[in-house]
Amino acid sequence: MSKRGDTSAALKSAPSENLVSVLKKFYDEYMTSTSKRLKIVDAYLVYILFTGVIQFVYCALVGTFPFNSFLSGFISTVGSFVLAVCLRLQLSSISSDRVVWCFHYRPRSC
Amino acid sequence: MADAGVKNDIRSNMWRTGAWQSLLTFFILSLAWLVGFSSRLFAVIRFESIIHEFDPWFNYRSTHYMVEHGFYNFLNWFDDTAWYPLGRIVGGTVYPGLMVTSGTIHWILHMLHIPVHIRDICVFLAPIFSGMTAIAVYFFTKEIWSAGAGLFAACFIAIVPGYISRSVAGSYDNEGIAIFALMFTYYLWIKSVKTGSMFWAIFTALSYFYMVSAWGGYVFIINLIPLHVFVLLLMGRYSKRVYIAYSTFFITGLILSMQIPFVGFQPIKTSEHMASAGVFALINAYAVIKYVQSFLTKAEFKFFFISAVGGAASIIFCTVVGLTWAGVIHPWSGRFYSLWDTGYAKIHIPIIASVSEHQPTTWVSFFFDLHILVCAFPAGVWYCVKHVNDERVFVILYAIFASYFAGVMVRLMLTLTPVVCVLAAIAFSKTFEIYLKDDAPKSSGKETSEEPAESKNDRLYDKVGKTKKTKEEKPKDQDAMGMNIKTIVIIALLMILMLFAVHCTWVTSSAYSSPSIVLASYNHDGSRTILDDFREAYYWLRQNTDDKARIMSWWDYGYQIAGMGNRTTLVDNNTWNNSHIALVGKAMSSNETAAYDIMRQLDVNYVLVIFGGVIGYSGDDINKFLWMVRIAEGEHPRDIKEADYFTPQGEFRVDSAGSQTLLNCLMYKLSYYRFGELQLDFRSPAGYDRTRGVEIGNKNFKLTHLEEAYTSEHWLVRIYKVKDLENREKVAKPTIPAQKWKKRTSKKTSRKRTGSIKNQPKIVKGKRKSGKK
Repeated sequence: MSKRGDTSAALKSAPSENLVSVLKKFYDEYMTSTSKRLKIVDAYLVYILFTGVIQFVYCALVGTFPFNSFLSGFISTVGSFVLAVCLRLQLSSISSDRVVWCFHYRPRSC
Repeated sequence: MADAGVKNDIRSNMWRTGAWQSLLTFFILSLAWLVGFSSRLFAVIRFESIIHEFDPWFNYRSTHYMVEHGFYNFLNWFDDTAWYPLGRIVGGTVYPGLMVTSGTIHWILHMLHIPVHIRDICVFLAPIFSGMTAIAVYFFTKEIWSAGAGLFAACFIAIVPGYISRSVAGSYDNEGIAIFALMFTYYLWIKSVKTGSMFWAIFTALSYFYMVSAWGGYVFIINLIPLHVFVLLLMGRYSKRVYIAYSTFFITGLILSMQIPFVGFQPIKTSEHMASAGVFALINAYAVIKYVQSFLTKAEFKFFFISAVGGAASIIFCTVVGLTWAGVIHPWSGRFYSLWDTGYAKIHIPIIASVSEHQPTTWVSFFFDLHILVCAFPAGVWYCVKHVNDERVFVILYAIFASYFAGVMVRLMLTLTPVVCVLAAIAFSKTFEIYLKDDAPKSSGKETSEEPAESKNDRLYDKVGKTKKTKEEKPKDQDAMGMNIKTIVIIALLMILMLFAVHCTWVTSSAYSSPSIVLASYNHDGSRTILDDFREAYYWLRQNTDDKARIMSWWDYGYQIAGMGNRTTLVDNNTWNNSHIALVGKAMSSNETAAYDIMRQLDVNYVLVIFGGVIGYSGDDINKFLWMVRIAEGEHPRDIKEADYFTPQGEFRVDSAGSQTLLNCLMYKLSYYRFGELQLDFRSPAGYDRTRGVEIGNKNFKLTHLEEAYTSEHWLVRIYKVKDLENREKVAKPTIPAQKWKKRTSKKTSRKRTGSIKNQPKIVKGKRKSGKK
């Protein structure tokens, strides 16, 4: 999140080409520059996302009964996703910024 | 509290270890707790340890039920003695936090073999929690500004009348614990935003869960925190900490808040909670975009950004609007909608408009409840705006919205009070710092150069003792004033604070300490007369009526009848069924025969009215009568018309000039039955109503379908028994049909046959017979 982006990419004129090239560049950049630890967390995030999407699509197709089950399952996936993202944020800042995250209750330089 | 400068002797060493500071802090906070507790005990000392008002009686009855029958029986409790014949699902329509808190304290004390009755726990719960609120406000203000301001704020909130009004001993209501939960949740939220750790965010969610279980005002938290995050995003103050704090808090808080049966699915289905979900989606989208931004160049990113943001915003907007239109997301409920559109309740929901706590606040209430704090409060807001950082944005937003809501409804003065205490404490603390500094500032040059650095990363405010606080004032001008001016200002401020304490105690003693179940009046010589009519009548009901008797009264008294009289009621303060209340109102507003029909339909055995004409009590049912008419008219517009109860000139009068509909309705008759024979003193005529100040119009009437069962000592409570159906309908003017007397011939024989009796002497009429009979 706090890395500097690379330079030197020429803009193309057609918008659809532009979008594809942007995404491709983003993918390449991602593959090379993130550490293995973060990639594991990202894989977990993708898995959780798929689980949530599947649950939501199932609910939309089949119906909301029993609603409690749908809610608990879906909110669990969203919650796990969010907590894993928070973990990833903290990990990435530790590895890149050299700022020590203070996990106890008296912050010094956060 | 300004610290001494850098001196090298033993005293400064002792100061710097912080030992004196901790000791002083501990003592001041425990004194604040003690003072807050004692200040709320007026009613207990003057009268007795009793539950006050109306709503606390229901809370007490539920707590009693929970202590007797266990928690799960309480959660599944279906009360069939309320709202006869409908019943009430108590477990699903109550916020259980209050009952659970008292029940837990009761359980702990009994485990330790300290047998405290549940009623005493309920009476003294609010004062105990007021001390804990003071401590929570101390921590909150310490995070926002400094420990010195925190101590001021704790002392303010301990005695301020705006909070005392709802947390006096005996007022066993949700607000007593809810304000503690509110300030504690806000403190934990500020802590999580400052540190960005998930530990604090989860704690915030747990405290939020406690708040949801305690009070319906949790909607304030779940709208203010997303608003804070949104404003931070707009101000460009997005950071990882905000993302971590809010996303963790939101998702954990969401699933915890849905555990309360009363809240149920509301957090995902009603408009009041949609703001939090919207901000959650927004901050996630913002985080993703920021992450992608780190990989791309500026130009590429700009293109991607516009398309992504445009797409995301339109999707979210269409989803929310579509779901609201389709009815999946319910619109704002009446209670909260009336906060935005203040004229709405009067027209559409008269029950909400009729409650005296829901009226707009007057200017006098602000000063009465907050005294000098409301004058110092804008100064505190200004200081927060001047030295803004992430957490002070929160306080500013809280102050703005709480001020708006406090202006709309008197009851919401309670949510304004903590933030006024905090900001006034900041103003006072800052002022005292400036004026208590008594040595020349050596670091004036250093301070002005540090000013731009200060405003960028502001983490130094939670350290007491740093001398960088007075940077925006010109030190030279301050010192030119000299010691005399400073002393005068300090003494003036101290006197104002002393007057504040005196005012708070006076207000608590005179205005907010009446139990309203027991009235007291003071005679000319100062002696006190206690009017205990309410309890007298409710206990008469409890001891002299059948266990299954059903009492009809106006909804104000439902909880008290159920709590003290232990009888079935028709309507009570929960007011969840407007049609049922309208039916009772219609019965009260109709004449006796029409009302009798309704009472037979509803199986009513007794009717209870409150009548204040003998002692001049102005909260009686005749003064509330127009609201009964309005509510009944809302449901039965063809039968009841409000205009019928006014004179042709438009006045509401109970004397002989009053409208005939009013003078013959059930409420009038039940209030004034036999009152025409009562002459209160020799100067006024018989039947002189002290509350309205007139002689009543309809005096010597009889009741046909009810009979008087009990009237309390000062005629405050009057109970009537509903008579059973007559054996035979009495007709006023019986019409006897004209009959023609015809000679009756037997059909069996064609002619009349006389029979003969043996040995029958012949008797000729008119002549005297001789001999035997």
